[in-house]
Amino acid sequence: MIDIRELSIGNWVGIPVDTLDSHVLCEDFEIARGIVTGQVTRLSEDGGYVELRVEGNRGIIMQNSYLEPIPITREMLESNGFYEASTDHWVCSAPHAFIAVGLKQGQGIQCEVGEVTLLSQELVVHRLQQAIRLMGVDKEIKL
Amino acid sequence: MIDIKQLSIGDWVQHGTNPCKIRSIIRKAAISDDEVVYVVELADPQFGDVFSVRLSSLKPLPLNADRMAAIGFEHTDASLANWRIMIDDSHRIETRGFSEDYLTLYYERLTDCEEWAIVAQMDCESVHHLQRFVTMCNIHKEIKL
Repeated sequence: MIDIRELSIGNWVGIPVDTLDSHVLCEDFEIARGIVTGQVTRLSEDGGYVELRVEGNRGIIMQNSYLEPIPITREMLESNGFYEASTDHWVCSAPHAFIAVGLKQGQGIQCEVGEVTLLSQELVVHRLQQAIRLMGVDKEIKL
Repeated sequence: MIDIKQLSIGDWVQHGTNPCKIRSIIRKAAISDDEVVYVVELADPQFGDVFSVRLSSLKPLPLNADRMAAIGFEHTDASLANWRIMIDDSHRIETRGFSEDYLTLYYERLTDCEEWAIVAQMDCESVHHLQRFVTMCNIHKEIKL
């Protein structure tokens, strides 16, 4: 489960669509940004719900508790301009910034701009995006 | 104007002269390929109203000494330049050289040598920036003004 207060426009979240052998299968959705097939269009503290617009104008309202964070994967990093500098250590240079992600246990996201550093231990996509934005770096993660 | 990408539910922003809390964020309509109207629903704690406004009418809520105190920071010197909040026995957030419109946040952790080490730092200009930083540090604390 994800805390709705961590989310902003443009973040990616997972919404469970099925189960397989007791594993929950999630579909990835972007929160109201650009033209995509599935979007979360509204976040509300009032009862903690999200409104999900799947296609066209068809909307579904669901509880916040259905949202799941999307884990950071090697494939996701690769497709977003990161390269593996050493085993399980992925880096990306953005304008005026250096972003590093360690996929081993106990590592995490490290975003550096000059002498300023921001760390997050949770290896999930929306945390990576929030760290990048907080550091004032113009880079949007796409799935 | 505030960058929509920096806002989350529960953030504090300034509408007119009042601090207001965001209840919901709505993507209302795309006016053109380049322009999308974001509407936010606000709660005014002073009057208990809930109302919707365009994002463009909002400003960041600046930090000041009263708001730092309301969040739970305690000042560590008489000049109100430096503030600290203890998260638990081994984690804290500190500021140094606070001015009315700008501060640098330091997230510090007690090391095995019992020294405070900086693990993250960020420049911060408004209350919603502070909330993001607190959340990124895995501190489940909601700012209340």
